[in-house]
Amino acid sequence: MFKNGLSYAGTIILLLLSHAAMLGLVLVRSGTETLPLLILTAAVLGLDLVGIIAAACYRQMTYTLDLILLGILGMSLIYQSCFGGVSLSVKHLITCVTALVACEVGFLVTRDHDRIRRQKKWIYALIGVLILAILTLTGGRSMWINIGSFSIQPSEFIKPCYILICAASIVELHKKVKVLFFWVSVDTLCMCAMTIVIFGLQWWCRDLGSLPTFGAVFGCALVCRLCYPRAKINKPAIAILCIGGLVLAGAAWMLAPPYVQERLHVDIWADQNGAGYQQCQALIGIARGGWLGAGPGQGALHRVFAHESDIVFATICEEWGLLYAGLTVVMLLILLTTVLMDPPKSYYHATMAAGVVAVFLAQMALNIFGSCNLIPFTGVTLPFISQGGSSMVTCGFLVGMLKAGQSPLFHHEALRPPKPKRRTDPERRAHA
Amino acid sequence: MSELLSYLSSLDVPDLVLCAVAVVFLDVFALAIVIKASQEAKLCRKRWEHVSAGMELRAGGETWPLEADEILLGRHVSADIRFLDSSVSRYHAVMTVTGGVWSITDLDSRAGTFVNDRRVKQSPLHAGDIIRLGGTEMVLCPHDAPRPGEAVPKKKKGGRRRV
Repeated sequence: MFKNGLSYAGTIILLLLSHAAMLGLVLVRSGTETLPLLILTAAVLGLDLVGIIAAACYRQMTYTLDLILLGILGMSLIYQSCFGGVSLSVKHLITCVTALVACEVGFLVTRDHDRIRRQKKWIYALIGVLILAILTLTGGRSMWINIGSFSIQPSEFIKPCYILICAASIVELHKKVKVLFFWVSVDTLCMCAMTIVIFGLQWWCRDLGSLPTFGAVFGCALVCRLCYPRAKINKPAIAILCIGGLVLAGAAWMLAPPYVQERLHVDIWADQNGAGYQQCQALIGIARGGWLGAGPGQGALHRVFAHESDIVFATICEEWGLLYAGLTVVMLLILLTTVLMDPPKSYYHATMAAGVVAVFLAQMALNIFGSCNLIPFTGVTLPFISQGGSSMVTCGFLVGMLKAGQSPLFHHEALRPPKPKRRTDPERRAHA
Repeated sequence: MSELLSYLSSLDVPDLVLCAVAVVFLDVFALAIVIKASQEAKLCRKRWEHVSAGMELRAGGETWPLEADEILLGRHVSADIRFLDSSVSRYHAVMTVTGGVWSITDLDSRAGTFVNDRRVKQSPLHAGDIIRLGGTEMVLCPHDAPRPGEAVPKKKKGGRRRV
């Protein structure tokens, strides 16, 4: 472990105490039996310990992201196990463990930015395979692949790959080739082509909820492209970009298919039992919960469809109160602000971190504001809090990418000493 | 154990107190994380100084600290260090660092890249090396090195006196 590993002891104790305090709250306020609560306690504290041991296996410059991730995953497991009565959500526990594994994988894969840059063709190939899987295995215009009782959403896995190719295109910006009369960057062209393909696929599959997330990543990449590499903001270019974005958003609003138009213009209170059912129930739940909540397992939203994923913020507000729901959001924001405290030292990692932050912020905004009826309901998950294997694995991988930016490997092919040439026989004899 | 839990659950503690305690624990954890992250950021900065050897580029009265592991030099608006000299190509050269050693690679520029008046395609750099891109010259030096015309700070006398 890192040499100052012991200095984390205090933070680890606070992490365990904060989870223990939440479990204490469940004990007293839910009025549950002791056995389910003991099982839940063992699962939460066990997850913490496994996460700490897993993080300690790799030498890192900082472990703060690991600890925040463990804090959020523990909270998530407690929330999900208390919806509609206290009972350990085994499915969510498995996805939490998978998210931790994905985080370590993401860290190890993206730590060496030179290596991942060299392997960008494989990332393009992976996106191609995922798109093919969506087109062939989902069965119609859907994003879900159903294998028995499991459902996988391959489009979630496209997100980290897309961030990686955006980062690669920014870094390779100065490598241009002449096509006819123009100097063009092949990487930028490939990135734009891939963006069109992904957006087209989302539109065709009617998964318009993920479009703003991909749009946010693309926007970040464009801003990094225009301001590459440091914050010398190119104001005219940014202004043109903003106007272009607004025009595109307006066009999408006008040309959206009828089922989207219906969602955009729905009056939830006039259609409480139809299109506005979930949002109405979510708002009633938030109001019922107040500041302190009705108590873990004491809410009524667990009867509503997608209470554990799409309107999870409202469900937490109802059972735990607005105070706790707000703190959950604060924890997620702290996860993202650690990147600002220690900005990555390579452009690849910096662009990658910008993309990851864009994904998290877009998803949080869509979920929370959608639950509160401030924007149309999109059905996007809240990172780490909502149930869903694909989403959890992707979010874990994305945090691994943030970790990679905090503890990078600095290697450059250019400076590696050249391999000594093998001497031929006459040379060897002459040397002897 | 179960009796203790049953006793605790039967306690009539106001919700406000319970929630306040739980929230305070979570708040303290969040605060501790933020403090730890800021402390670690200082450590990472020190590590970066070790990696980059605390170098900077100087030309005339201007100074550019080298704060990333890849620095693009050129005339283009997107270059890290931008020169408004027409003899400098838009993407002229790139500087990279590893293990405290900087190197420069020419990006097929028209006027070429020179290190100590020797044209190079790729070359390691050392403190005091003079780099020339087109008609622009600059010096690589540690950021604590005195600038031209600046007095060299004298070493303070002190410590144990020899007899």
